[in-house]
Amino acid sequence: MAISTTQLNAAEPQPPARKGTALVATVILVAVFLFFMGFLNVVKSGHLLSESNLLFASLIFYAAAAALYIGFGISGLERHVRVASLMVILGWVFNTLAVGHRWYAAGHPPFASVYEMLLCFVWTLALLTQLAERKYGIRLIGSVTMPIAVTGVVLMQLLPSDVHPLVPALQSTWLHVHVTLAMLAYSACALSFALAMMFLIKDGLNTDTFLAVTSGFVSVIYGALLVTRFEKWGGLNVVAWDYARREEIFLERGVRLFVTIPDLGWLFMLTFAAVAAPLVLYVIGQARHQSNLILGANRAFFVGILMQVIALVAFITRSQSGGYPSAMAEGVYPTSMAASPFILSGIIAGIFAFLLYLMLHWRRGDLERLLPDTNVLDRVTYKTVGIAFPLLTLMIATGAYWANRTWGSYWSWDPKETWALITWLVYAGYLHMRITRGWRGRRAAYFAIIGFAVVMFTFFGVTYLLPGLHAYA
Amino acid sequence: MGANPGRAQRLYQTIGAVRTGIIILLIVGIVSAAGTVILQRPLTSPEDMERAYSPQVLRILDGTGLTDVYHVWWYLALLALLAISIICASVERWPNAWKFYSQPYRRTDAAFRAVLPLRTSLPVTDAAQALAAAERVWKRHGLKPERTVEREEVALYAEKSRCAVLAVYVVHASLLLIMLGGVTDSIWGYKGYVALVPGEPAISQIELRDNTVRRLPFALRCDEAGQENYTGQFSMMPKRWWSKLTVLENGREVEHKEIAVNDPLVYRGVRFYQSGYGTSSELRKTRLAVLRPEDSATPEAFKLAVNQTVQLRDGASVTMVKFISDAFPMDNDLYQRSKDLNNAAIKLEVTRNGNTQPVFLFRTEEAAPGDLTLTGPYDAQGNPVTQVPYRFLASLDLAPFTGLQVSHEPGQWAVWAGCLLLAAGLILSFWVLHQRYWAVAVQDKEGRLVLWLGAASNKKREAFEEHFQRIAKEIETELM
Repeated sequence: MAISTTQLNAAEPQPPARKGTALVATVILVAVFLFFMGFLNVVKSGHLLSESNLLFASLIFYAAAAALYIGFGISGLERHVRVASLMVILGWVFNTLAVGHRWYAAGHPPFASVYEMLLCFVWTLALLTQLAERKYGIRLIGSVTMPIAVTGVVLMQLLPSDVHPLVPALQSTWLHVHVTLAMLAYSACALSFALAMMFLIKDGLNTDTFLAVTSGFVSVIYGALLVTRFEKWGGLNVVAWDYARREEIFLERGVRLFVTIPDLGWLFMLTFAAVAAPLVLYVIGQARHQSNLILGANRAFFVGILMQVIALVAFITRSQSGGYPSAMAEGVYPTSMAASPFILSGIIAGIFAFLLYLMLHWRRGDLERLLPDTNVLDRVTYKTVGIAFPLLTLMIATGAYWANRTWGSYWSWDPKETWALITWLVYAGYLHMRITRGWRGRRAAYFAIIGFAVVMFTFFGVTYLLPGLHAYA
Repeated sequence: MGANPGRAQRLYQTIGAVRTGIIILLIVGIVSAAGTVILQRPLTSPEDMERAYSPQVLRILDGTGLTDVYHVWWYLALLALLAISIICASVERWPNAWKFYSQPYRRTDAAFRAVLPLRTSLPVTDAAQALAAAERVWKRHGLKPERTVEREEVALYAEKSRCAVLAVYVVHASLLLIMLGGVTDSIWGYKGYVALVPGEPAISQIELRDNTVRRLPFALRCDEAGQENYTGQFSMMPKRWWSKLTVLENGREVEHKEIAVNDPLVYRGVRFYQSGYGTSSELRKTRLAVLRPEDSATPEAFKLAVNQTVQLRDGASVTMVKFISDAFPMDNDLYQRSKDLNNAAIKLEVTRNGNTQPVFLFRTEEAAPGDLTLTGPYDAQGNPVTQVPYRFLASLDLAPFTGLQVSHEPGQWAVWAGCLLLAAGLILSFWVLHQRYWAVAVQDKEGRLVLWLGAASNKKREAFEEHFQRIAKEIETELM
């Protein structure tokens, strides 16, 4: 008779849980070391409270929090979650100082570039993490939201952070209201996603299903990457970078210069195969009822992580060195990580997703013990969507009002607007199914997860895959 | 005869069913998503469409309307169906909701007391004292208790935020209002664009988005326009575009306004938005500098107009033949491709010792809108010309234009009202709790006098339960 991996895991003796002090001490030591390095740099450059230093401080605290939350997920020790909470608060304080500094330096609220939007998104995420922990007692939420925050801050370090004054179209109070609402709404959606995932974990959804979903999600990332950037001789197309001006190279207005890094396309193709393999093996294994294939899927997972790390290292090293030819212009041009922030964050997100699955795979029992009751999780997911939905509505309405004042048209079926509406429709569907049809539990959780997938497409997919008016965000 | 009303009734119920609504929502969502992936017609040029899709695929897409999906008849029919579904669903459920809202159940009869889930009983000695205590505690929690008398039995009833019951209907009605506004605008509204050159006579025609022309019942003139840049290192970035506009009706000036981005002119329901500022292709002045590289004399400077000839120091003459705003080379000459300012060039003729040589000057950079610098001499293909021993620098003054978006949207008031109503409805729906409380002094099964307390809310059951228990505890302490 076929046995699932969950049963196999339960049969193996569990390794002893780690000591609480050891992890906390390690994390604090690493943080102190990083702070010391930062301090030396500050002494050299002379600016103590510059924005990048404040952001660096909050990055260290968020990373420490992420490590401790994941540690808590594995060990369940009180000390971990308490120090993690403290780290989040400290990180949030520095984040607030960074936001204030930015606002003051720019003379306008920080909403004019992707860098500034990420700054606000990470701030909101940290705030909501603390709220969920304190008000609803869901202490594990930091293990999902803090890695996202860390990815966000890392992404910010790569993006051009010059303070730009606002072009006339962006100088409206309504725009700032709209963006604030968007950040709040999307953070609430992210939270509902994390809660829905936790519900599924507590509800006993098969670990193998999580394997398939994680593999599928990261395959979509690499698939999208390859579809848009694979060059037919095996290279990868990336935007060229002007190191002197610290910006992308444009051929003419709105047309970026793309260069081709040779052979990187093949590596990413290989990585795509490695991350998709678990899903493929899982599907075949399910169809043919062969559990050894599903076991194989779990082993293939490690290959997937390895390939992703190789892809990350290769991407970083190759993008930071040398010049590459372009099909669009004569000559050789350099590129940089900073020219491809979304590719980089996609790779990092993929690695994070795989690591979170491993945490589930190895410590599912501990996780389930630490999570509150399924009813509580289900209810709080609904509450979070109940917060997100009015915010989404107001976001769309204020966006329409701003567009009307600036361009004379409140709705022009622009891809970004349309996808915001689709997001709204999906969450409206969730609420209807729940309120009027009594959908609870797993079906509601799936709906919440689909809703967040649509949110991610609205934020990333529309900018990255579909061109349009909303090119700056 | 009896079958028909049954079928109509069932159809009505199916359209108003929540499942129908969700299915329609889903289809609208999927079709809207398709519209963002498939290139849409008015925005994408026909050449780009043909480049993206093969002729067969393009024919299918055009035939099914997928290339202008947000305006195709079946999409509008879907939206209409959605509206009808909302109307049916609301109308069907409204009578009950209204009854619940307008006739609150204040009574505390025995059957009700047995059935209400959230209730508790406190043993008391004096009925009047117990009710008075309950009244005091309720008042402290912001409730307004009312006494009801039924067959000499006095009971208390309090309610908070009854309007929350109708919140759902407000939400759906506001959605209908927004759709109504949108439909009004798509039928009676229009959007267009007009570029005015400051100082030129007023115009009363605008070009609409669908490439037709519309006459306005008044005329618009731009007296002055300008661009302010940021100072310091960002001096290349525009900070503000402004235009001083005058509206004329029957030749008489009726309104003046200086508009800027985000601050439009509204006249008779038509709105003019400052959307851009740039250089037109209308040449006003040309300043030409001629330099002989081999002699270190200062360059000769002239003011030139088209077809005007000037004499140089060494006896040669230069004629400005033409100015081309969007030049393309053909047969060793430059021709005008369009009226836009794309690739500006000047054709000069240099006459020396009886020989006439045509030369061309091309653009180097644009310092600010309206200011253009061309250098040369080049041939029509852009290669340097060595036969003439001069270098030319022309500084052109082109008339600026101010770009205005024009829109008339009579339905937008319905849309904004709908949005406000929607926000209110959602806040009521999600965050305002409808609470009801009852209290009556009765005899329990064993014949003892108790104060029966009951409560109900429409959501947030657990938190409300705790709240109710707290109130009950307070009443208990009050009675001791």
